[in-house]
Amino acid sequence: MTGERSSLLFVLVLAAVFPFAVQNPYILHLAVIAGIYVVLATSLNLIVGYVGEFSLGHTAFFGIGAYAAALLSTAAGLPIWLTVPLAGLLAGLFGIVIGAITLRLQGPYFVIVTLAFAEVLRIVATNWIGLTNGPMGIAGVPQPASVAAAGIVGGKQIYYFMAAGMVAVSLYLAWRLVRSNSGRAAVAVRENRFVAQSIGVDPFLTAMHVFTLSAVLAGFAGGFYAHYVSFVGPEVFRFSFMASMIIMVLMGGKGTLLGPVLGAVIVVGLEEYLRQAQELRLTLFGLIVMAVVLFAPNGLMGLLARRPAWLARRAAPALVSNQGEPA
Amino acid sequence: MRPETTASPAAPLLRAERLSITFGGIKAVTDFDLTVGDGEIVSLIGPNGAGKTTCFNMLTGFYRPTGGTAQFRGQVITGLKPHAIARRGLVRSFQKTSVMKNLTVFENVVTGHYLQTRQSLMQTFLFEGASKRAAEAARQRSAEIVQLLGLGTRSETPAHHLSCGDLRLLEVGVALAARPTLLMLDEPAAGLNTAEANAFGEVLRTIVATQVRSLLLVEHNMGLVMGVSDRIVVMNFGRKLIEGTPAEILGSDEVREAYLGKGAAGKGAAGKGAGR
Amino acid sequence: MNLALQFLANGLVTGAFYALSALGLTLIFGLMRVVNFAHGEFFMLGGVLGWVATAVLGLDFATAFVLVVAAMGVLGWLVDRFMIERVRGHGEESTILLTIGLSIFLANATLYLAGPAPMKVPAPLTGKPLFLGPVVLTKSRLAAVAVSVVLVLGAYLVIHRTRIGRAMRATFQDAMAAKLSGIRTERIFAATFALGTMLAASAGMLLASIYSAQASVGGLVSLKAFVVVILGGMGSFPGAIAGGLILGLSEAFWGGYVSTGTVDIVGFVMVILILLFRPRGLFSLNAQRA
Repeated sequence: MTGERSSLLFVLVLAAVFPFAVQNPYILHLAVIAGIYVVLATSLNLIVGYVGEFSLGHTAFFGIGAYAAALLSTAAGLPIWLTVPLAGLLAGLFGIVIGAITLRLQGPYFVIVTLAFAEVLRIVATNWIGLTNGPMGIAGVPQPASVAAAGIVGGKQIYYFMAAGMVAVSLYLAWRLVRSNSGRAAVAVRENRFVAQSIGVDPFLTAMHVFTLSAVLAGFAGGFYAHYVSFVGPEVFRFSFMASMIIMVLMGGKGTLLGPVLGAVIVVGLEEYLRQAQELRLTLFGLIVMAVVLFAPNGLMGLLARRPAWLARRAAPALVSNQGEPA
Repeated sequence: MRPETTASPAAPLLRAERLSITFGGIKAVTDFDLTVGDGEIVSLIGPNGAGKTTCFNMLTGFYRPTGGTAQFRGQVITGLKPHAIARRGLVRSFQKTSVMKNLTVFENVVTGHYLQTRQSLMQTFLFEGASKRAAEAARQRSAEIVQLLGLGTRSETPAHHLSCGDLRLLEVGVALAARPTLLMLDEPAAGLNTAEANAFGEVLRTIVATQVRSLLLVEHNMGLVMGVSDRIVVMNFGRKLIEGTPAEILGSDEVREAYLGKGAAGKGAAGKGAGR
Repeated sequence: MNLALQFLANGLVTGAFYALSALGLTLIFGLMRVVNFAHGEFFMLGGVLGWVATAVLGLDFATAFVLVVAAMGVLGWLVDRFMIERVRGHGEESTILLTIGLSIFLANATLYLAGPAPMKVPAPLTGKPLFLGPVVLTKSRLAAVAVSVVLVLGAYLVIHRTRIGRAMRATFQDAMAAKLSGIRTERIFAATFALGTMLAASAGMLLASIYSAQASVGGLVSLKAFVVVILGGMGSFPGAIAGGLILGLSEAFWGGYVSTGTVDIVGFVMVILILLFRPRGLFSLNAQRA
């Protein structure tokens, strides 16, 4: 569908002029965080929206990416333009292994086993002190020299463009996959596993493709995050990252590429607004998740694409037709 | 991708020998033999619970038979996964209406072209050329199929808004898109009224004439079955009762007893539930 | 050797608590096929409300227990009627997401209102620990184990020996047929969910008198309960007991002989292995029955 394509392009153009229009380092910082979350939400959406399974352990790949970049730069001295892609690749390898195990399961079993993997990794990160420095974490993940030289606003601008580049690459990869035959096959499996098999789709292999790309993207986000905040500890596996990702994908609209982007930007804004009160924020998030499930199962994109759900005659589970794009 | 061993003219396209399956000790299908020749239209009939859908599920890999084998184009297919069997050209529909209900009619049929538009990872992420051409071809053929089925005006309608009759047609369309060598339809006219069933029969005849050479049909609508079949196989209680031409079957006492006698009351559930 | 006996005793006690904590989860799944990701939060609320009733309002343990469990039953009923009811029949995903949302909401609302500090429910039994040969156990733990056994048996009897239990089993075998024979199925769904909630809350309050209640504990409880239920087979009562004991014992011995920091990993690794090789649980035969 060209509508989604042109809106994506529009967002990218807007993103390119943004840091020159806004010279405020605080706003730029928020934009960088939003960029990281856009990649994370896009990544989770590949699983939730296109594999059709719900992962509660997606922080596993974010965390692996973060630790990989932190170790590669502090121990091996590699520069950021190598560590972030390598973080993505390593997360992708873990994605292949974890996917090969978890994608044999469906429904609640998939949810629980993905959660179990993330917990195992968190415990390993806390206890394998020789590698990860345990609960103390890895401090002093180096900034690129250009950032250090560019001053406060300049440094944020450089980070901003790196984040924008990462977002562009991630969205492009996701877009290519979703529009590809594998993406259509994934939608077919999500819609009707039996029909998909009867037209020759291998549900497991298809899910593996999508799952692996999803892991790679989360790894990028983790690697970049490590450099940006210059510290990585076992908290990267914590559940509040997961809660944020869930709400971004659900609120924006799962199964669309633009939805999670929208969701990420809104949620980062909301998080910043409620920064002082983490509990209140998460309380609100929980309510939003419930409200979305009950009243707007396709999120904002569903509301934008069609008439509001409460006007629809029947409680049809999904009205979005642009989610598959088998065009 | 597909095995290019063209079967010799004498060998049937599909040959099942002594297929059997038990569920929790209950024999659902026992020693079932079936052949479908190239260019042949075979119907499988029998009372509810006779094991027809169970046979479909065994032939297409959704159930693993506990005994017997099936060969398609001279190669053993028992033990293969459903998608692997579909890739060899044996494509089925389901008894319970099964389409991708949130996609439009056109999108459903395009998705059915999966095997014709498969692409490597390199093509997915870097070079689009060849796969773009395949996708364009798939779109054109999808438009043809949608027209052929008489769904042209509802091409952009989401499948969950379709009437029952249109849904059943769409199912056939998705299966046709996969370019089957042998198309297996499981009660495609179930739930249709007489007018719809007649219209469906017409479409089926067109399909057989233009799209697919061989057909295996499970159906209760006798008018439809008698009108299109070259050969009919009757099942009851998980076994083959008799087989023959439509005329032979109509004259058979055994068939009459199976349908009207005590067999008609046999509403076992063994053959159901595979679609879900 | 003496150390091993002490680990064994600790493992059995913890295992009984794990089994108790998982009961509500396995009941709701076994009968309703709903995976309740808010289970741990119901457990946590039982403990926190128990603390409010005893330490703040000054009620005695037994009265407080009855009140808290009743209140949680009402909460469970409302959650089912006003939320789960609306997505019933829409597939697993909706209920999974709904209960994840509910769990995030309950945990953080409690954290916001009650704060992160541990809340100790005064134990009904105090006194010197018992010395059984080389093994040391406190009375309150033994009492809690006894109550656990009673609750497990009670829940089992409700489901298998009472009219409401029969209606429940009928409803979940074939809701349409149950409806036609005059059972008000929507009430049965709500009653089942309420029963599961009450089991979770009673476990929470009981254990809050031994350890303490904490607003943020729900996630861990849910996880452990899932481990127990997956070990024993989803929906199986005997399986939950066996699963609880297996987890309790493995953790006690792992913590005792290998490393205390990595105790939690034992359960998760078991879950991963079991889901891979025996997805219906270790005792698949039992898993068939609710």
